[in-house]
This record gives sequence, C-alpha cells and structure tokens, in this order.
Amino acid sequence: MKTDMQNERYLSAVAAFGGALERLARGYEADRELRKDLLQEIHLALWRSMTSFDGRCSERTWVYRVAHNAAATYIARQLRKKLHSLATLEDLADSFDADSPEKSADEQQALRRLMETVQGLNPLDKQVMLLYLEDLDAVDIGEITGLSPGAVSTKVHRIKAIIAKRLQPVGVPHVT
Amino acid sequence: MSPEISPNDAKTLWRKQPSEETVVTLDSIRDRAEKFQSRVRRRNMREYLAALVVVVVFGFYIWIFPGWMIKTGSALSIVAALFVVWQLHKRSAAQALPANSGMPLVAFHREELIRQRDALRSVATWYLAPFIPGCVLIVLGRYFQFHAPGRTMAWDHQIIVLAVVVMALIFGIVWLLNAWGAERLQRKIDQLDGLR
Repeated sequence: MKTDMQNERYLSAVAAFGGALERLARGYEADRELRKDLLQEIHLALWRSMTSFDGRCSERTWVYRVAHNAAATYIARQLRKKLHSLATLEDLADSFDADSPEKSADEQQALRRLMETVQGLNPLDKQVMLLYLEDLDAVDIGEITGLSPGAVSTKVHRIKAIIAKRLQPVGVPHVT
Repeated sequence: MSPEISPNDAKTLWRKQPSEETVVTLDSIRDRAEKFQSRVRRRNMREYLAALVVVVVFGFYIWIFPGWMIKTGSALSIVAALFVVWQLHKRSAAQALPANSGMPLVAFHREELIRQRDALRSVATWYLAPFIPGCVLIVLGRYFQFHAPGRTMAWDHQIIVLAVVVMALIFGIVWLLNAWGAERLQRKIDQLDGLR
C-alpha cells in the first residue's frame, strides 16, 4: 500500500518534471554514460524520497531539491573517485551535433557555450543557474535553495551578466 | 552577423534542447536500489573480514609472546580494531542513505559539510586514540619483557625507540591532515552561513 503510494507520487513527479531532470543531469555531467548513471541516481533518490514527502512544500520544490541534492552528492562522490571532469569542447560538440541536426549553427554554438558555462560552475552557483534557466523566479529559487532573497538576487544578476558575456556571438562587443 | 542572446533567449534555448531519451523505469530503479544494498552488504563483509584478520593476528601474538604487557596490549588492539570497524560501519551507513534529500540545497550542503568536518575532527578520538593503549603496552612489553633473539639489548632498544618515533610521526601527520581538512570545511560552512 505504502509502495503503491510511493510509486504513484514518483510517476506523477516524473510525468511533470522528467524533462527538467534530464536537463539538470546535463548541467552536472558532461560524459554521456556517466550522465545516464547520474539520471538513474536522481530517479532513485526521487523514488525513495516520496515516502517522506509530506506536502509542506510544492511537488516542484521537492523534486528540484531532491534532484539537485542527489546530483551534488553523486558528483562529489565521482570527484573523490576521479571519475568526474569538466566538459571538453569535444564532449560538448559530440553531444549537441549528434542530437540536434535541425538546430542552427548559432543555436548549437550558444547551447554549447551555455552548457560549458553551467558545468564549470561551483555546486551552489550551478544550482541557481539551472533553476534560473528552468525559468523559476527568485522566490522559487530561494525556497528551493534556502538562499536569502538578497543572495538569490545577487546570483541571478551575475548569471544574467555571464549569459550576456559568454553567449554573445563572436565579433559583437559586450556593453555593460 | 548573429544577434546577441538575451537571458530569456538562453532560458528558451536551455528548455528546448533535445531529449536524450534515457528510459528510467520503476523496475530499473528497484534494480539499482537492490544493487546498492548488495554493495553495502559486500562492504560490510570486507570490514568484518578485516576485523577477523586483526583478531587472528593479535590473538596469535597473545598466544606466542611472553609477558603480560604484550598479551594485554594485543588484547586491547583487538578491542580497538573492533571499535574502529563498528565506527566505520556506523558512519558510512549514515552517509549512504541520506534521509534529508528534500531539504533546501544550502541546508543539505551545510549538513554534509558539518558531517565531514565532525568526522575529520573526531578522527583522533575514534580512529587513533583507541589504538594508543594497546600500542603503548606492546612497546613497553617489548622494551622491558621481551627481546628479539640475535640482537644485543642496546640495538634492540634503539630499534624499539625508532619504531615509537615512526608511529608517533604517523599518528601526528594523520591528526594534522585531518585538522587542516576540518578547518577548510569550517571556512566553507561559514561562507554558506553568510548566504542564508
């Protein structure tokens, strides 16, 4: 009975946030095989967590918290085993060129740079940036991360500046 | 020339990236959970075997060496090894199954840092200190009650003193490295506290 409820809640969460979880895993792990492993780990953590989900926060907040905490723990473990490394340009090129032949070269390049930027960040900044890119507002980011409104606002401001700087096409001068 | 990409464009770009179609089913999750439990069981088994080796080796010492000091020291070393294995088992079990994964990210990260810091700070008490009484008694027993055959007394004593210095250095270095690690983690915790 308890397991049925757990399965039901898990499946509902995955139906709503499965795509976001996959993108989240991409933000953490550049290697495709390790990324599949990470995604499995995130799903396992989410499934397990559904026995203790008490509705004191929204399902979305819970899913993002569990997923980010699971991913950060996984990456910390990989770093200890020396299995995790930052993305190389070749990793990113393979990843996107194979997946999205219909995308324009500019879009692919922008996405590649965006991914490179996300993957290179420290855990907390990465979490805020990933939540920002999923279009969550500052209040939601604060609730999920536990950061103060001031800290969220500062980080979001910096993220916007980084996006403007890193993603502008070559040859276009950046004006602050 | 391509137009500049705004933060909103970046969000759109991020959310419409193609799926890798990784299939995760309930069965695959249950398999993974079962594999995880198997890994924990295998790790526990390795710890029990290590403890068994220590019990056998020091039990052998109790049997073959003369003098109450070496015998008591060996018995204390067995107790210390069993205590350390129990501590490792307890601490790694708590780490393997975090029950707090729904916590806000900063609080979760802070708890993890505190757990690691406390583990490092307490290394002296749960990993090093338990072996000291046994080691001291064994060394005293070697010095006063038993001498290696084929060596002069003076040479044997010099070797024992050298062994004590090496052991003290190893203990000291382990303690110092852990203290530095704990200090580094405390700085990270303080940084996080400034963000909440």
